[in-house]
Amino acid sequence: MKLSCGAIFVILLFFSVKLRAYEFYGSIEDEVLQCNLNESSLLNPGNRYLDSKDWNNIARVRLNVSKKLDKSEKFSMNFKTFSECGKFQTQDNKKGTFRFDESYLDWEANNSLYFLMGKKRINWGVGFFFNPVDFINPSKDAKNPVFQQEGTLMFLAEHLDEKFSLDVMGIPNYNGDYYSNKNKLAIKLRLNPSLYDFDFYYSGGNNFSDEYGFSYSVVYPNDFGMFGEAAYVKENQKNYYRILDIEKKDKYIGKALIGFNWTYKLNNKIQLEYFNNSSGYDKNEREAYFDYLNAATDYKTGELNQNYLMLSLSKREVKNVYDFELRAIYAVDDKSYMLTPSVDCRINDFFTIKLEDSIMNGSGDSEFGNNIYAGILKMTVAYNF
Amino acid sequence: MKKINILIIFLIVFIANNSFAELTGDDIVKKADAIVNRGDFICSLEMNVYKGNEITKTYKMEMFSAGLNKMLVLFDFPPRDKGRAYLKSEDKMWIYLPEVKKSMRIPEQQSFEGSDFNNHDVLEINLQENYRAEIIGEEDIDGRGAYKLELKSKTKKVIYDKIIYWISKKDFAPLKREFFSLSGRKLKTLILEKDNNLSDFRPNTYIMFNEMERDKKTIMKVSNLREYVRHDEKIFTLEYLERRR
Repeated sequence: MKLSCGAIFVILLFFSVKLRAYEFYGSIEDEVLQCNLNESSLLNPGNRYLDSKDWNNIARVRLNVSKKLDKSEKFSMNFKTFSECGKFQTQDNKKGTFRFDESYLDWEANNSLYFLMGKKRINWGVGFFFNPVDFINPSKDAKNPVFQQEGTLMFLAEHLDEKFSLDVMGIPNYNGDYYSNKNKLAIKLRLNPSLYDFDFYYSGGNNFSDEYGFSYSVVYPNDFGMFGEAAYVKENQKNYYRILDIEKKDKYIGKALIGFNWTYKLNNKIQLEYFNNSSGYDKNEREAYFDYLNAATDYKTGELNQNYLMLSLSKREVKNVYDFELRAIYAVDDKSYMLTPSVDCRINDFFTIKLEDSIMNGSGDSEFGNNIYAGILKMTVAYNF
Repeated sequence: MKKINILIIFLIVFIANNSFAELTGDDIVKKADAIVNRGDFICSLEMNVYKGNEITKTYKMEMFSAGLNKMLVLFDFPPRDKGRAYLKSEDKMWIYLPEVKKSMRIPEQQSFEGSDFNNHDVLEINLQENYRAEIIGEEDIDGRGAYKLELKSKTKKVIYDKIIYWISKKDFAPLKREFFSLSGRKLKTLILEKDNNLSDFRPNTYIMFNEMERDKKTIMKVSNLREYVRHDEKIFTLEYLERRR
């Protein structure tokens, strides 16, 4: 897959030299981080992660290239690459990564029809941290929603008119599910957002459980905003661990998010999200899961609980340079939490520095209390071009 | 015959005088709005945020406008914000964040990229619809005779309760606005200027002073204005934003 994407990229690049200039943008980042290993974590079988007080260094390059291929600018090619290398805090000291997060061709057939073919990252939903309806490219880490993800190979057809838009996606060899690498169909219906505040979503196909969802967002006077998402998954895909003889109870899974934000004094924002997640474990299931972990390696690291609260307090543009944020994610069921203060500094139009400290805490059988790291301190310097 | 001619001239002068005398505050604001909003247009915007005399941030954008209720702002500079976009459609506003690939509803009062403008100042340009205007005097602004008007909000959906607005008597060009909160506190002052080499009445430089932080100001400059452009309706949709990056 990577080879074929690379080959397409090189061929198109070769031909594009003869056409008009293409657009480049991206960033080069250097991240230094120190991780404080959680000695009591059950999620570190074989001590794969090492306790090192050394600073680790990771370099990342993101390069995005796009180009209109015809004079009427209806046909275009787009590539987003991500590469990463450096010292990681694992025994195997993971080698570098290079991947195409996106590589696709698209065509605006007319004002109402649009087609896309290739690898594209699609994120559905209106929540910032938790996204129950993000069926196609669900976030790999809800704690870090900005973290760039790899897209999904698809054929997309979009119809757009004054009343609604309809996206239909055929996804071959979808492997983001527990079951198999079969084809998947995904549909999004958006009613005219000037009049309505709802979007509707569906995803399913052979060997996939059907997923239905909707999202909602509204802004009231005095800059008070409310948003929500709800998802219904027709089959329960939860892993049940049998040490405590727990039987599969629920036939389906429901997930819901409700969030509020309030902007005041121009640059200050408070955001609160409540996430109910029936694919998480209840108390007995969680105990069984942690017992099972002593003998297993297929552990999950996120959304282990059924109820979460997220609170974000941010103050932007302090002295026109700094953005401060304090984010707290609280797992209501096991009473563990993650606290992340950060400061983002714009040195000039091209360079930024970000300092972030994540602190995780909780009991030995809790989600954040069992995180591999009890704390991660990192500084990222980025050059944007 | 001579008497009839004198009578006709007298009548014309009387009617003309009377029609100007009957110009209400709302009429004047309507004429000023019409100068700023003339049909569909595309323009480039450069926004500089100042602290004292030093520029702390520069943004470059493309603005697309269709009528009074549709507007799109696409960011081109700085590189970190490339691909970011603001969209207004009817009375709703969104921001598109390419790093998370999401369009999110935004409130009007939120600062526009940390500048002294807020989203409402940039994306909402239709004063006559939301305010009732009354002439409260006449003053000179930089040597130009101007109507001084008090605009009171008609609805609760606007973020300024009161605006004091100076509009040129000669050509109805907007010259200056002062924005007030519900409590009567002055929040911001906007100076609207135009380059002397422009034949147009339309201001091309917007200078916003923040009364809370007196050493701060933001200057937004309009260039490459192309009027009466026929836009594809699709560019004012979330789908268009989400396709781009």
